[in-house]
This record gives sequence, C-alpha cells and structure tokens, in this order.
Amino acid sequence: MKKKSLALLMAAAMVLGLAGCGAKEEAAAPAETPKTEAPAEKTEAPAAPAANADGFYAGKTVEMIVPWGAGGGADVACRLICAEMEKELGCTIVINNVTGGGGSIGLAQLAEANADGMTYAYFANTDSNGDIMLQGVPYNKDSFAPVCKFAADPHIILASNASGITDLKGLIDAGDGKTLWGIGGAWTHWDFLKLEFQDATGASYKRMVYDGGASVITDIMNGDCTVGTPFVSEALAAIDAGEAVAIAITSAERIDACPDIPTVAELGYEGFESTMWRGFVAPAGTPEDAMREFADAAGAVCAKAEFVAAAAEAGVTVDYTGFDDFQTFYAENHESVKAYFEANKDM
Amino acid sequence: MKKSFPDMIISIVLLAFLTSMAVQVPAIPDVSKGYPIFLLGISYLMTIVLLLKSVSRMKLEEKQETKVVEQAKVIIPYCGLITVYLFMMTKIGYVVSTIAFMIISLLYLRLKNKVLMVILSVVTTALIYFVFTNFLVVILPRGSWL
Amino acid sequence: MENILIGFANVLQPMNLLICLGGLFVGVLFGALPGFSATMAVAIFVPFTYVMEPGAALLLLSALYCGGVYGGSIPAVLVGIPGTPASAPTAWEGKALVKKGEGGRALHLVTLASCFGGFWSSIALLVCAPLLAKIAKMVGQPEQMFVAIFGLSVVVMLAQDNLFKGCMVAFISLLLATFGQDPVEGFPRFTYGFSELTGGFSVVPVLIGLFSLPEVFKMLEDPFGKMTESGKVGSMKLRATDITNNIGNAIRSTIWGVVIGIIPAAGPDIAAFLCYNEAKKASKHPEEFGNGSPDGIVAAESGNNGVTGGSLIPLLTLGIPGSAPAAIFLGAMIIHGVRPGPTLFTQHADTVYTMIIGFALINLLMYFVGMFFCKCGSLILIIPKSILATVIVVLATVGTFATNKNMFDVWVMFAAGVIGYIMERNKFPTAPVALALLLGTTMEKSMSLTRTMYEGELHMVLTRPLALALLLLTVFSFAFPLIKIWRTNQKEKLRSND
Repeated sequence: MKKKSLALLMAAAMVLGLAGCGAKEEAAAPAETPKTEAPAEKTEAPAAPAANADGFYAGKTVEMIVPWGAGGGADVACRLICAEMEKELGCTIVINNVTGGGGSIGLAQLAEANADGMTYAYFANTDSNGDIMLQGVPYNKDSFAPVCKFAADPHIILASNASGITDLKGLIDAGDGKTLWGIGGAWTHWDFLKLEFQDATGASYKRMVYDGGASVITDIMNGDCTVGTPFVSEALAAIDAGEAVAIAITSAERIDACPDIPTVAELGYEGFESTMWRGFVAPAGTPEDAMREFADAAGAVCAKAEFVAAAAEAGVTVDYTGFDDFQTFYAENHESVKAYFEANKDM
Repeated sequence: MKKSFPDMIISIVLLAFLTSMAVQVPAIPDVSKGYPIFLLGISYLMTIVLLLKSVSRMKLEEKQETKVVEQAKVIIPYCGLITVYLFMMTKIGYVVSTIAFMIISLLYLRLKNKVLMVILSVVTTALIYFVFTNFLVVILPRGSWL
Repeated sequence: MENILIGFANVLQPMNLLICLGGLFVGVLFGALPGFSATMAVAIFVPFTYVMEPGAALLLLSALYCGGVYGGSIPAVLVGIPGTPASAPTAWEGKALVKKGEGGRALHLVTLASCFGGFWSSIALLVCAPLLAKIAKMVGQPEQMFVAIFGLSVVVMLAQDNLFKGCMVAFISLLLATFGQDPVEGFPRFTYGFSELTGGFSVVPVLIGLFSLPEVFKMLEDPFGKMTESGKVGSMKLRATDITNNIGNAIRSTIWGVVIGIIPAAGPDIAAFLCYNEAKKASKHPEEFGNGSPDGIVAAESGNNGVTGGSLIPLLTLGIPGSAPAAIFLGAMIIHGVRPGPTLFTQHADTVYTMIIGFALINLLMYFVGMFFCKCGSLILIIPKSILATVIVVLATVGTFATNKNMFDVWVMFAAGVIGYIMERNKFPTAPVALALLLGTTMEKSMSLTRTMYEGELHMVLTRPLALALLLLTVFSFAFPLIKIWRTNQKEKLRSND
C-alpha cells in the first residue's frame, strides 16, 4: 500500500518532468491535484524564456534557508518574493525551512555553506547580533554578506479593552513601570520596539515575555496583558472583532491595510519609526556580482504593483533597499541593536 | 546478574548527568533559575533514593540467569552500525549511505534472499530520495566527501 | 443556512472530493510511517497549496491533518510503534489485542472511534464555534499552567504499578524540557556548548526515537520471527458490545478532545493521554487497561481526533491557533488573503463553510480510506522482522531529518531510542517522557508569565473561575489514583487479616 501511494506521487512528479519544468514546487501542486481555476500567473512555470536568460542564475537552483517554520510570517514573506524572483532570474529557488534555536540553527547552516552564490538566507533586524544575545552561536556579524532588504513590517500598538486605554496619550500616562507590555519572544524586535518607544516617550512599562505574537494577542483580548505590539497581519482580527484597541502604528506613514490607524509619528513623536525589516544574506565571501544580480531581481519584483498588493494582502509591507545602500544599513543596524542590547540586557 | 543491578548503574549514570547540569546552573540569569533548580533538587533526591533502594535490595537478591549478554551481542553492534550510518550520511551523501546501511543491516539480520535484499535496498532508497528531493522539496544530505 | 448549502455544493464538486481523498491518502500514509507526523504532512504541503484556490487549499490541508492524526494508529496497533505520539496509548492496547489475534477488531475500533471523534468535532466547529471561542478567550496564562499540570497528573495514573520510577522519569524529563532558551531572558540553558541546543530539544525527534527504535531493538532479539505467530490480524468484525459499551466513552472523549483542541497549550497527543486516563478512571474494568482494552483504544482515538476540529475553533473565530498544525493553517490562510477572525464568516463565507463542511465529510470518508489502509497494512504482520527493522530505522532517520532539516536532531532521535530501550528493559515507563517534554515548556512559560501578572499576590489567581476549576480538577486527578491505591492496599490488608 505504501508503494501504491508513493507510485502515485511519483507519477505526479513525472508529469512535471515531462512538462519541462523540472522539480519546481510551485508547479508540483497543480500537477498533483489538477485544478480548475488556479491564478494563471502563478501556475505558469518558468518554461517561458526567462527575463534574464544569460544571467549568472539562469537555469540554476538556489537554496533559500528560512530559519523559521513553514506557514509563519517569515516563511510567507519569503515564499511570496521568491516565487516572483524565480521569474526574474530564470532559476529555481528552493525554500528550505531550517527551524530551531530562535533562527540560529538555520543561520549557522548558511554560515557554513559554500560561498558560491547558490545559497541565501532570510535575515531580520536582530540576527546579526546572534552571537552576543545567544550563547554558543557559531556565527557573528561578519559571517554574512548582506544582500538586500525587501520588506519592513510595522507593528500595531494594541491595548486591551479592559485597560481603558484608547489613545497614545492614555498609553503614555499609563507608563508607570507597572503596566504590562507583552513581548512576542525574548530579544526579538518586539523588545527593541518597546525600548525605542520608552526612549521616545519617557514612559516605562513592565516587560512580559511570551512565546509568540499569537499568545500576546490572546492575553490582550482577555485583559491579562495590557499592551502589545503585534504585526499587522496578526493584529487585524482582534481589532475587527472589537476585542482590542488599536493605538497607533509604528511605520513612518499610515499603511493601506488599515488606513484608520494613525502613526506614532503623527501623534506628536515626529521621526518615530520602528519596523522589523526582512532581507537576504549570503555566506561571507560570496561573489559580489552574483549578489548584485540577486538583489536587483528582488528590486525588480518589489517595483511591481501587483506584487506589492499581494504582499500587503498577506501583511507584508514592501520596502526595498538595494545592494549598496544595504551594506551601510546592515552595519548601522548591527551597531544600534547591539547598543540597545548591551544597555538593557540586565533588566 | 542481580535484578537490581541495572537500577544501580542507571542511578549512578543519572547522578553524573544531573551533576553535569548542576555545574551549568550558576550561569543562568536569576529570573529563570528557580524552576530548573527545583526540578534538579527533586531529581537528585529521587535518584539517590533509587540508588540506595537498589543497593540495599541487591544484598538480599540471588543471582539470576538472564539473556542480557546474548542480546547485547546482537544489539550493540547494530547500534554501532546505525552510528556509522548516520555519520557517513553527511560524508558520502544520503543515497549511498542508505543503500549500504540497508544491505549491511539485512545481511546482519540474516535475510536469506539476496536478490530481494539488493532490490529492496535500492528501490526503497531511490523512492525516498526521489519523493523527498523532487516532490517534498527537502534537501537530503549531499555528502561533503563527494 | 444558505452558506452551509453553498459549502456543501462546493465540497461535492468532483475536483474537491478528489482533493479530500488524495489528502486523506497522503495524510494517513504520513501518519502511519514512523518518523512522519500530521504536523509534518501539513507543513510540507503548505507550499503546494499556495497556488490553489483558497477553498481547495484548506480542504487539502484539513484532509492531511485529519488523515495524519488518524494514520498514526495503524502501526500503533500492528507493530506497537505509534506513527505519531498521539497514538501512544493506542499502541499499548492495540499490541495486546494483536497478540490475542484480535488485531482486526482493534483496527476497526480505531477507525470507527477516530471518525466519530473527528466528525463530531467538526459539527462542534460548525454549530457552536462562536460560543466555544469564548472558552478560548478565557484561557489565559494561569489556565494554561493548570492545564499543563493537569496533563502531567496523568503520569500518576499511567505509572500506577511503578509510581516511583514513573515520577522520577517525569521529573528528569521536565528537566530536559528546560534545555534551551529560558522564557524571560532568552538565555540558552544547559546547552553543553552545542548551538543546536539553543532552542532546546525538539520534541518530535525525541518522541520518534523513543517510540520507534525500542521496538526495532526488540525485533532484533529474534530477527527471524514474524510479528505475530499466526501472521494474521483476524476478523475485522466488531462485537455488538464494542459499540454499546463505548458510546458514552466515545462521547466523553470527543468532548475532552474538542476542549483540549481549543486550549492553545495542548494538542492531539495530550488529548489522547488524558482521554485514556479518564476512560481508565471511569471504567469498571481498569485492570484490562494495558492488556488489550477496547475502551482504551476508543478513548484515545476519539480524543485525539476530537482535537482536529476543536483546534480550528479559536483559529477561525479569533485567529489563535489551537495546535501546531493549526498554526500552519493560519499561515496558509493569510497567504491566500483569507484572514481568520470575525470577518471571516461574513467576507469569506463560501471558503470557510466549504472548509467546515469538507472537514465533516473528510472524517466520514476517512472511515473508508482507513479501512482500506488497515486491510493493506495488515500485510505488515507477514513481513520478516529483519526487513521491518531495517525499513523502520531508515524511515525514522529520514523523517526526523525532514522535520527540522538538521543532522543534530537525527542524533538526538537515535540517542532517545537507545535510552528508551534501556528504560523499557528496566521497567522505567516511557510515557512520562512524552508528557513532560510536550507540557514542560508550556508549564514553565505560563508559570513565569503568571508570576509577572500577579506579582506578589499570587492567590489572586484563584479569582479566575476557569483557573479554579482546573485547579480542583488537577487536585482530584492527582488524588484519585493515590486514594485508589490506598484503598486496594486496605482491602488486601483486611483480606490478609481474615
């Protein structure tokens, strides 16, 4: 019986091979369960001549390590952009979810990978400081070659209904050091946002560390936790249900998914911006030309209106920084995160 | 071998393990120290009780015949085989090491039909490799020596 | 009502039916192969669903989820290796029944109970999701803490014959669960310098090793024998009493399953252990448990499948995933632009009702797919142990590797297997390891959060009605088996006095 079902899977995969699109996962699904109305643009395998047929990546297979689980925010963002980048580069990008250790296992795997431009990894704000924040992490800032940034997701500051806080002023008034501020994971961007907010407003809150954004939202809904800063895609369900109050959003400008929520900056803290950026890195020593081509492809994708719209739907705010600018951005970000961590690690 | 002998060995090994953990406790930040220390304390206590119980029981027990030695002769080399298999996987790649492991394992367990042995090993490995790399998009170890 | 009809019409489209069936086949296969699990099936297939229509995508994932949770029980009965941890209680009873030559009956019971649990949990999802979602909202950190402790109380009951060793294993396993980043500072504890341990032990590899390799080593003791002397599973027919005696049991276990599903801290595995435990408490013949009791199988199976629908209730209504696979569902729904939450039932009514109706249908279809697999699966019993042992090692290895894609976990799996074998030979129960690893992290996390919430006034926790109820339940659950042991001792004393 095992054989039978496996044979079925094999047959499905074989159909793919014949269709001339190799082992491309995006194409695999429709072949396995032929479907009627899949969105045409997505099902089209890159059998059509690639946009960049003579590029470094044409016809090759790139491994993209996502150090978080399938279906999570990082995974969703990566899969969205990689599906489009495949068309730009004319290559296949295999997403490899290497989970565990707060992202450090996947990044350690990248740091050890061959620096031939065929392996990349998803990267975010605090990852370059892994060796300082976590014990026993085998990589540091210089193990990676920064490539580009493709998104910067703002947080929504939520307050529980039970707290009676309805606006930013109320929130700051409540900042007496006893109000509970939910953190979606120790030393993730949530922690840094809280520190930045405290620095900007002079208020102070009690840190309450959870194991993920979902738990924070649950506790805000039932009033156990007073304030939390989930990402847009996580927060909207609670706001729509009237189970929590949206105070402000931490991006520089309001975003389309929730145009009614004001930014922190426009409520009197000009210049306040705190977003979790998402980007790509390669192992240190990867040829620059390859990285540039990869970064440019990401840039071309980020310039497409349909992609930006699709990403916004999934809660990802596209914000591209190209190869050259990202080098300085990476270094500055590393230093600022490090400074915040060193100053506050003994809390 | 006496009946309580394994219990004694196990509790000694556990005590060593618990001590290796206890050594690491001082490095843990104060906020999250309490819970592991509490568990460590209870574990120590229970292990010591087990040790004392097994030692006192052992004095009263008669030696009994068991098949442990014969079984260990089969099982320990097999564990060794698995260890080599896992080690070689990262060196010579998933496919080669798995085929080799299956053939050796079947030989070791004395499967008589040699043709079935080879076919089974090759087909199973090929099937797993094919399904995983092409269909489930899991990159199996490629092997650093190849 | 109209939406329900639309849902029906959608599900009954030939294409969608095919997706359900295909998903079930693959799901059951994933569940049945040792080293593969329901969570893995859902995780691996999520990328495929990104190109499908939202309705069809969710149907495929639901079928994989239900099939995976059910599939684990087939090898549990036949070879004593639970394909997923949630089938561990089934393995204890199933193996004993196979020895009695009643394997067919056990498999039929498993299938029927699974479908019963799954079907009624989807009805719960359809009929009273908004109502039940209120429970999800009441579950804060203190409640999660008590649920974890309550779950651990099962150890006392399960290890009744060997209470001391059982508790010792539980405490040491809880200690193992503290490996990795602590919940407040993120400091990696007890890593022994391995960066792979920064996040602690992954539970899945440990359980794969613990439940499958010891059986392999047992096979090695006599590699030429077949799995059973007769080499047959016997008739698949049920006895009339199997159904009449177990209706109450199945209903109770399903309700437990749904409730456990709603609570974020616990999944199918905990539900199976708890329901098994409750059935043992309620049973008139608790001595049969462990020696092939149909009640135990029915309880564990209707319980773990009851979780499937239950875990989707807080997901669909509030966007809170109630189990690991449900968390993956959330990602899939977001990428399709079908955002869970109260607007889901109005804006995406057709998609969500397609999914819920499909969920019920999938559980009915599962009976037929399951019986087919059981019939084929029975062939396992005539395979020589030498082949079976080899294949299980290979599958456990590749399954573990695929879970997190790193070799370290494979080594952990192997070590857990060897330790599990040593434990079993020396009468240390292995079930407490599973419970402690599954619940330990949650317990510590919710404990530290509760402390932060009620700093200095911890007694205030008792003002929360649900927390108080759970506390009483826990006390009862710890006391019950102890009182029982004490009573039997008293009786024996009286008898010896006579």
